[in-house]
Amino acid sequence: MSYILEMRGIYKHFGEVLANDHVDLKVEAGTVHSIVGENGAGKTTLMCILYGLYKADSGQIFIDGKEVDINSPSDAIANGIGMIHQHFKLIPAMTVAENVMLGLEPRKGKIFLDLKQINQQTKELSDRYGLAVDPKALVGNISVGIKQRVEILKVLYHKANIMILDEPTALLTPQESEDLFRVINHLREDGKTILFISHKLKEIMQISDRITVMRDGKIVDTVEKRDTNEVKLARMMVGRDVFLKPAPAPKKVDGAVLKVEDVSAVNEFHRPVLTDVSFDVRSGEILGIAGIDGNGQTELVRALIGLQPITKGKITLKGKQMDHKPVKLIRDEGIGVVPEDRLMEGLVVDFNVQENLFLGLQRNKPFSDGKLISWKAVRKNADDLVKFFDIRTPNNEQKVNLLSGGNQQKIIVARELSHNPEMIIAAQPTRGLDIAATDFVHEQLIKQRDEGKAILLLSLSLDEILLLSTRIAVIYKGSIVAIVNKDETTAEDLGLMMLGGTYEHIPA
Amino acid sequence: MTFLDIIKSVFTIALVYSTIRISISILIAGMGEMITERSGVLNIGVEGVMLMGAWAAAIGSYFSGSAWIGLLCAVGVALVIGLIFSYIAITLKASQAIAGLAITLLATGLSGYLLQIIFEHGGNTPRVPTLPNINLAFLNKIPVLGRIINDQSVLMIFALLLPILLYIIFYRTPWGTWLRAAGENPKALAVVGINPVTVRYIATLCGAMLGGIGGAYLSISQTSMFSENMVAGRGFIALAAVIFGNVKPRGVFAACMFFAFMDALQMTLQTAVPDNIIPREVFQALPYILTVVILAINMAKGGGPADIGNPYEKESR
Ligand SMILES: Nc1ncnc2c1ncn2[C@@H]1O[C@H](COP(=O)(O)OP(=O)(O)O)[C@@H](O)[C@H]1O
Ligand SMILES: [Mg+2]
Repeated sequence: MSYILEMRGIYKHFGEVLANDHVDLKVEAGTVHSIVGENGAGKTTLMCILYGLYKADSGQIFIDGKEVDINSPSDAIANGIGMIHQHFKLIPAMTVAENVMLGLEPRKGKIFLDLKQINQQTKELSDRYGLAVDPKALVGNISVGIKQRVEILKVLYHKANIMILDEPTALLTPQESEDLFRVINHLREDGKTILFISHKLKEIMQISDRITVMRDGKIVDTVEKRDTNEVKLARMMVGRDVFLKPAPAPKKVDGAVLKVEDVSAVNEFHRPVLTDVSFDVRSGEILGIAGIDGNGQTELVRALIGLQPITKGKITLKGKQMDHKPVKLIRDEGIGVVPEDRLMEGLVVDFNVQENLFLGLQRNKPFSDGKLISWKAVRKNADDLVKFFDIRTPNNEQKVNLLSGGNQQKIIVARELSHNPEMIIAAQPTRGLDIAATDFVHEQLIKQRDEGKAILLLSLSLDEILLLSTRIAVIYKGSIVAIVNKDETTAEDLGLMMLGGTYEHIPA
Repeated sequence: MTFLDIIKSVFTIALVYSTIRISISILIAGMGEMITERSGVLNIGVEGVMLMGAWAAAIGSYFSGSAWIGLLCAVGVALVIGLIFSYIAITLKASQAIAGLAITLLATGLSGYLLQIIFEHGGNTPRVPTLPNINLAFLNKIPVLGRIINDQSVLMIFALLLPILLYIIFYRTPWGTWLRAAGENPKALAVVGINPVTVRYIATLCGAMLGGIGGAYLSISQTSMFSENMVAGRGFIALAAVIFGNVKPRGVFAACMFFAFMDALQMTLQTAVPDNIIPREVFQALPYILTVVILAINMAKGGGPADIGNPYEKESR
């Protein structure tokens, strides 16, 4: 058997972290070869080494059986390797065509750009693969799905034979993912080799020919798709049995705890970011807010906790007015918040574990008598929470920036639940967490729900929304376009509403 | 004296002449800083680079007897400073603001100190040879144009062509595209196989070189000597013009001309308006007050390079 790509003994560490531990990978030409693994397993590192962005400490790379030296992206491009990054590498201030041609611009004479060719070649390439992008559109103005197609065009323009897609579906709606899979199949038929990185097992089973599983920087195994299934893959990824199960139906749903009525808000440039938003969250239920990133979710959370001024409307908690009140008062009235930006808003990363575990509660009992902080109470609180939530830290005086993302999130969840709020707002509570930590956060939310708390869940992952929610509200361009019961909807319906109901598939 | 008399004595052809004369140094230095900033590097040491340029030009001109050699010396010294700055800011990834400030402080001290050592007295150099001025007989036959252009430094031609040249480079050549890309998102450039570090080095060196020429103009063309602190804030005005002009050739050109015009105007007003009506200090302060006001108004606008001031880290996420 001959392989188009072989990586042998790849070894790479970042400081203390061993990201790739003697990784061996063989990829057959013309196949879709998936690499799966939890966050932090080392997938991106391996691909960045292949693309010349990171330098391996040791290891070899072979293309078509010949050893090659890849020290920079230009070496990779010269060897027919292209990469579509997890975080797009595009320039918003330039057009689609300028982005596609960047670095290899067609020229008029030796010196000048051939502006006509730039647009025309982009158009031709886009038409050939049915990608339907407008070469002259500004990248800053196009949607995530289209941006990804621009990245694909870039790689095609570089004439890549081996295409790496690093978590390409992370930000896509189900419809956009379907389109992407169609494009991938088209590329495979065209003879390209695809390296597809993901931790979503469903789509892995849909698109792959072969699957390599990574865990803790090592290869666990490489298997044929037909010989495996989601359960087996999950077990290999995590090292034990885990299932993310849908939440059981709520026990008892009572009256509204949080009421949001006709709330509108504008951003610093006076553009509307929330328009007439109304919903309520009842005791004993999880209300999920589904939507594509940037449709007002961030502003909604900020409005609820008093960080974003509202121009209109009413927010009440158990009948008490909450709008136009200071943040501290709102929190003390009984709102707990797991903010979407863990490091910026959830923690002070230079503080240690016990300090972070009572952040925002400095003036509350038992931590303070109103004047001085009782460090005894702080230590006791930390001891209790660390034990109860199983926070993995060498000691409670460890700075939190040295903990893993999962443990950082546990600290926030522990703190926010510790003052027993009746309303919990969880924004992207599992973003970037691995399966085990995700599982933990889900369990806590369900437990709180069953204790009669009202929970507002905001997530970019539709799977997560469907897994946990009792009811689902769809937010689009700052408005709630629908509120539906979980049992009466599907991912496809929600995906369509998240796009404003106007999605057009790429013609097949 | 009536109000009309004052107006008439202020808005003359001479005002246009001095506007252009004043604009030359900030235009050249400003265009340089624009290149640097477009690539994502903020060099607030323009003032210092100009000062060292002015110094080197005068010294070179004095000892060689040729102002052109002086100009070359200014370029050389500016490149050395640019290289030091690039190394600190781009390779070592230190704070660009502090590196720039350091250059200005260093230049202020060093130029005065070296003056002392070479001529055994401070203050200023003896008279040095200067660059030629434009003097074309046929221009005198054209009424207004002749009086504006003739008798300006040859560097005026360079200064006025620079914005056009840079506009073409920025928007019509691949290098310009890479330069802009380096300032917007250096990673996007790196992944298509072009090293943003190289681009930023070249841009910073070009910027420093032009800063040096802008300074040289002051000592070997506008005047014929170097005197301590002779740049007198022009580097900061150039910096302001770059921000005001959104780091784009047309905008920066317009901003430089505007600042030059305000300076020429205040000088004319100082002599035109009797001191007992409005003290001259008021006019002297005018350009600076306007700069502050305009920058304050302009701040919210944006349109500058997205990644300015951030060092490029290769193996970062
Ligand atoms: N640029 C970097 N600097 C420091 N540590 C890194 C860097 N990139 C990755 N790591 C670490 O290496 C490990 C593997 O990360 P990564 O390759 O991104 O995993 P994956 O893509 O599978 O989620 C993680 O522990 C991560 O924190
Ligand atoms: Mg990754």
